[in-house]
This record gives sequence, structure tokens and C-alpha cells, in this order.
Amino acid sequence: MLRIALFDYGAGNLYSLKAALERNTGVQTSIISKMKNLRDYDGLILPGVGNFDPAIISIGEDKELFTTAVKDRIPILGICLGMEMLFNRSEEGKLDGLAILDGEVIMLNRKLTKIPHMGWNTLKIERNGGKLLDGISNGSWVYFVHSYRISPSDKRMITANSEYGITIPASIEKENLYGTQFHPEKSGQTGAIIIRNFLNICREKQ
Amino acid sequence: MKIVPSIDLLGGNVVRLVKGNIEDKIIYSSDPISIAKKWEEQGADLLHIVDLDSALRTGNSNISLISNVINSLHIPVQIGGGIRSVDSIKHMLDMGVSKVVVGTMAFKEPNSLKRIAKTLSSKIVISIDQLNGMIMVDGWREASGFDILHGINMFMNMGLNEFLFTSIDRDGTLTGPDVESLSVASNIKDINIIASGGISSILDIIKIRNTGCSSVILGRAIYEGRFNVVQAKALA
Repeated sequence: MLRIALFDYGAGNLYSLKAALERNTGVQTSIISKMKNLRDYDGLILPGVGNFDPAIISIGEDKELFTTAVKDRIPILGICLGMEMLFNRSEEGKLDGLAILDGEVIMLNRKLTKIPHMGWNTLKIERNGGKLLDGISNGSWVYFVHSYRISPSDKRMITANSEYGITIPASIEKENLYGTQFHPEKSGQTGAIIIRNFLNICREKQ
Repeated sequence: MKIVPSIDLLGGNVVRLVKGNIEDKIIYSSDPISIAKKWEEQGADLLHIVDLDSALRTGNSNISLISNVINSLHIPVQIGGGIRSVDSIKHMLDMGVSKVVVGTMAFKEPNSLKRIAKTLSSKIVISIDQLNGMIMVDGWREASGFDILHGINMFMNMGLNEFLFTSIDRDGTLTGPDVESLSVASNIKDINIIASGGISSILDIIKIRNTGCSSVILGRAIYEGRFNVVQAKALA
């Protein structure tokens, strides 16, 4: 049995993500609100619903436990806000990010596009898509709901981009850290493959 | 932009709560019908009624009073507060209500709403009561689990595109509207945003109009005579 932890920022509503994970056999998901005992899990997901500062506050004193999990090489998937939080700072909030990855989170450009970016868009796969996008072809459709984009210092972590007035990093991969700006749990068959890929990554580490 | 005066009913009286707190209420009138007529005469496009007894489960019922208000007016009436089932939505529409504002139930039972969303899409308004970017439900006492964007997205995917947007920390405070959040919400493609909360001066009407909102709800500001509906209409 694969044990996956879903971190709850205090807001709840992780049902669609939980359901998407449990559509795969042999997966047991736990919704956790503390980063304690992360070694008991084979993978951790930071979900994509919430706001930057309240989410950072909800991790609060557990930040070190989270950093330890990163060092322990537990596969971690950040979705939307969950990915944005991994960086140093965000224009959405005043608080520091988790600063696991170098870079910042910037608001989409109002002058170039309609904000938020809400709906389906295509992926332009970079660097073969890495492990997370294994089997996903260039031009696959995924579902976005966001107003901010990441700007990693090291662009090599970007495994796919999407175009929305500007180029938006759509997914990243660096060591045991994975992130998507889109919502795999809302992205139909493509999203299901991405979730299955993450579970396979967790299984390898088991 | 439509001008929409609000009548908040608690125990048969027209009241205003400050930040949704029942202990912090201001009673404006014990005669809701004449208040409703006054707003209609001043040129209101729509009347917004909030049934606080139902929302806060006080045990009092304002149903017959609401029915009387509807029958006394020529403008459409929209109702919100404590609508917790599909039956209740249908009951309100049967009573002659033009639009029903749904909050808690929409977030707790999205699937029930989805079933009627197609046929009643123009009659349902989703209440987005936000605090620090998160949507609150159950009389503003509980988190829905949705942030503004993801909440709005869920309902737009059902074909619902009208949202009553309230910034809880502004409501009843006369501290000015939450222009920033309103701009973000009303900028979403094909959305109609009804602004509510914090309006204190006639200049706020212009600020809200400039965010692209389709309607604005007026509460405390018109009850305390900061400006009237006629003046608001002139700038809307």
C-alpha cells in the first residue's frame, strides 16, 4: 500500500484531489494538518487551493519538519499554490515562502492578458518532460486556475511551459520536488497520467 | 451598474449587522415594507433581502413578511440568507422572488446545485463571502475550503456566472469597498459581480463602477443618509 499525505492548509476541500489519487489502486491518502511523522508516508502533496500568506502561516512552526522531509528525499508534489509556496517569495503575500527552491512568484501581466488564467491550455514539453510528465505528449491540454506564475532562478527545472500572453512555467521537477501550475486533478486523462506518474515515483522510493 | 438597496431582516426588523455579528446590530426600522417602497421610489433597480433569522438560525421566520414585501413592489426582489436546499430555492422562486442567493449550501452540496444549475442559471446567484481570500460559509463562521478563484471556477463550470461578492472584514463598517478584490473578481471573463460591503460615500459608487461590477448592494450608507439611491443611480 502506497501512503500519500495531503497537506491541509486549514481550508479543507481536498476531495477532488483525494478522489483523483484513490482512483489508482493500492493508494491510501491521509489528510494531514501537521508536518509531523512525514517519514510514515511515501509521498507528500501540497494542494492548490488557498492563499499564499494563510497557507504559509498554516505550515508555521512545521517549516523545519518540511525541510527535513525534503532532505529525506520524500517525493513532494506542489500543485498551483502548493508549488508557488516552495519559492522564496510571492507577490500574492507579504510572508516569506518556504524557500526550498530559488526564485519568486509574480502576478500575471494584466496588460497582456485577462487575469486570472482560468481554463484549459496546452503544454509545451521541455527537456522530455522529466518523470512527472512521462508519456504526456506535446500539446496536451491541462486545466489552470491561477493569477500568479513562478519564476525559478534555475530555468532547467522547468519541464513544460504554457502560453498565456507570456510564457508560464507549467511544471517543474528538481530532485524529489515536483510541481504543476495547472491542476492535474481537474485535467482529465492527461492529469490522471500525471498523478499516476507521481504515484510511480513514490513507489520507486518506497 | 444596478443599484441594489439591501433590507436585512432580523426578527421582523430592518437591521444591519457589523461584520456579521448578531450582538453588533443596528436597528433601522420595524417597518420593512415602507423601507422597501422608499428605495423603490428612489429608483432602485432591484431589492436585496437578507433573511438573517434563517441564516443565523434564530428560530424566527420572515417568510410571510418577505412575501408581503414582494407583493408591495414593482421592482424585482432577490433573496439570500439561510437558503439551504434545492427545495428552499424552488420555494422562494414560487413565492415570486426573482433571484436566489445561495452560499453555504452551494459549497457544501455543489452536486445538488449542479442538478438545477442548467435550468435555473439566470435565477441563482452564488454568494462569495471572503475573508483573507478564502470563502466563508454558515453565517461567516466556517471556512468553505475554497479560495475566491477556485470557488468561482467551480460554479462557472456549472454555467452559473453571477456572484454576490462580500468582503467580510468591510461589511457594515463604512470603511470603503475592497476595490482590489472586486477588480480581480469582476475581471474574470463572462462574470457578473454584485459588490457588497464597506460602501460609505458616493465616491465609492464610482470606484466600484470602475472595477467593472454589474451591481452594487447598498446597506448602512443609505440607512445612515450618507447618500441616497437617487444620487447613487446618477453615478452608476
